[in-house]
Amino acid sequence: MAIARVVESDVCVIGAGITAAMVAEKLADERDARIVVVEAGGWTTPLGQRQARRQRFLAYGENPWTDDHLPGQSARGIISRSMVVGGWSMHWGGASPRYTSEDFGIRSLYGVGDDWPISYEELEPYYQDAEERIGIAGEPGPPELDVRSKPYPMPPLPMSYNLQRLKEWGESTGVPFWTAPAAKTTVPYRGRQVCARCDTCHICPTGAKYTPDFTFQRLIETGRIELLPRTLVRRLELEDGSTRIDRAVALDRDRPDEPVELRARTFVLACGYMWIPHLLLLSANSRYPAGLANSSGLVGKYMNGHRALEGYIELPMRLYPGIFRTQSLITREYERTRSMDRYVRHDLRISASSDGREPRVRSDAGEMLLGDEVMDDWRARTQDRATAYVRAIYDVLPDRDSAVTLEASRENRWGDPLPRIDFRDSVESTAVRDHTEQRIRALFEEMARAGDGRVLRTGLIPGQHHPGGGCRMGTDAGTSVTDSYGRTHDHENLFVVGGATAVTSGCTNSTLTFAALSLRSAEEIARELPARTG
Amino acid sequence: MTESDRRTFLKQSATAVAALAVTRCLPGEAGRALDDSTLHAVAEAVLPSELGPDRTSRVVAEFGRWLSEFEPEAELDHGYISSEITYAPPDPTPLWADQLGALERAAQGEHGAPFSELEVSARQAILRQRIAGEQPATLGPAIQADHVAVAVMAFFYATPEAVDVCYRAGIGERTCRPLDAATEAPAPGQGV
Repeated sequence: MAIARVVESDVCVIGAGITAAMVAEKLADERDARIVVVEAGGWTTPLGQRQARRQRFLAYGENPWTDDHLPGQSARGIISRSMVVGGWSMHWGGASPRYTSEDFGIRSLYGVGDDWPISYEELEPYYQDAEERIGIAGEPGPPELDVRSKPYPMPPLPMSYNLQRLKEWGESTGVPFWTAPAAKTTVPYRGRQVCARCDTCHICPTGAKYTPDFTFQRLIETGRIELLPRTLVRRLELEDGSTRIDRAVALDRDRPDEPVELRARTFVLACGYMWIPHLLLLSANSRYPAGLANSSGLVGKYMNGHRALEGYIELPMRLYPGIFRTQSLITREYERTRSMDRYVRHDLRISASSDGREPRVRSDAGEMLLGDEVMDDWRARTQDRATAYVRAIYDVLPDRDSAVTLEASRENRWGDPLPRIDFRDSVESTAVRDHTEQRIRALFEEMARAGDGRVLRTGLIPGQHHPGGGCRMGTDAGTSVTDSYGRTHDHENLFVVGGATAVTSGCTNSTLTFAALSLRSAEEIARELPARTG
Repeated sequence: MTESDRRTFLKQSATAVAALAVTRCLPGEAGRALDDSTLHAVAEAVLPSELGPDRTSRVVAEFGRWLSEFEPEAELDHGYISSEITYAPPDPTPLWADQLGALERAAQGEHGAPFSELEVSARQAILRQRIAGEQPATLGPAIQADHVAVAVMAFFYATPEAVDVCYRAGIGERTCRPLDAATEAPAPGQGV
């Protein structure tokens, strides 16, 4: 057997997505420590090539992100294949709302689900820190709906002409709307130029939208971290006679016959809701036959994610789809309701849509349209009518058996079983699902009436979004995997950061919350490291 | 951008085969194996006449360059929601070239003249016979079009230029533009 290449560090971060970037940056900025970040994927399209790749995407629908997934390293039920330096946040849209205080205490407030072991107030400084590190442009909402201690680090994106019209309409229902915060620049920020509303945020050609590779590049260039790309961690191993993690055993995908051992004082799992439980389950041994960190039996359990209901509403107004299609309005009105007969909480977003306003080649009567007929028909349908897109993410509470499991029948090319995820709603959520969706559809109808419009269609967006869980945090080691800092109850030098620790999924986009949680974990990890000097 | 916005956008963009700017940046062999004269005659029949001859010719040339830069079997965007990896279809050029040939034969058979010499209405009649039956209401990705005439329409209508023509305004969809200008309605009179 080949002798392993050993890489030693103070902190070994496994995974290189946005939560890993937050942890690595905070530790590197504040502590004198050797930090190694390990990523199974490689580097993808550099900034200098993104304009060209964007053009190919627009022209042919090609994947703008080169080599952004590992052949064969797939998980059944996952909603993205991105496995790359930067993780999913290479192609995120940049939506960056916070959770509200209610999200952290639904058992206490509403008698359903479980409370988190931390409050919004405890997490609030880390939200601010995350917003500053990522670079968020935002407009504060009314203080009673949008609680924050400091201004956003950047002024908001200017409200587009379309959104000004839609805001007037939305607020005619008596509900305030404001522009949704986004990880895009409105002023030059940390080397990033101002957003040019290219409207392809999932492949931002200018670098105005934050992607975690920016952070890693800066940390590497300044010698603050070492990043090992294309290195797949296959299992964690314990110190003899101890519960501490001794090493991570990995393989270099370019030299798979030469094993790599990563030795560190502290290990941080930052590889996402699917691959963190997967690694812990893969690391089962004779002392821990159910997997590491799993004395509670909850590794891979309570997998959460919310659902989203969307609607298209025709309104008697003229909009210009394409002005700034990636911008939207948000309200927290329906997240912050304290009094309710049955548990229904959701966010609400509004944006302009071209749905139903596209050019078409068949008339309502079924006749084929050609030449001038197509343009005449298109103009007639866009002259004095527009389509608003509305979308509500609603909270879904997970069942204990909403789970990630290993599939013995499916292995990757190195013989490791692959994971699958099966979401299952709790009994409480199942009981209110129809009621919730009826309420949201009724709200869409009410909004349409307020604007003398009509609902064209509604539908449930497939899947459960912004997934988390699998290593839920808590104060009781019998009912959780980690403490509120992500430190595993079973292994003092093993942390889980980001979405995997989430107790519930809230009812709005989760990336910023996962980043904030990671920064709070980093602060705890940093306590054991010497302060940075000079 | 919401997930659904993004999903819709990705669908539309994949549909789209857009940007005239793209093809300007990537000049290739115009027309490739397609008969340029017949292709141009098809474009005159399926695109709006308000484009006029020069802009119609430009669209045809850009369509040809776009086709010449196409890479069959390239990995397509997999974005969010889906974990499925999909690939671009085979090169449609042979099929579309055959269809242009069939249009010529139909023109000769029905009118005794080349397709390009027929009145636009006559060309449209021939085209309707061939594409009306199975064509859905909306235009899909140009590269996946079952007929070259549909491909030309899908190509043009996915461009920022088409949006500007429709709205008679300078929207500049999907072009990188100053941020602050988003607050105003686009200036009228752009496009045609």
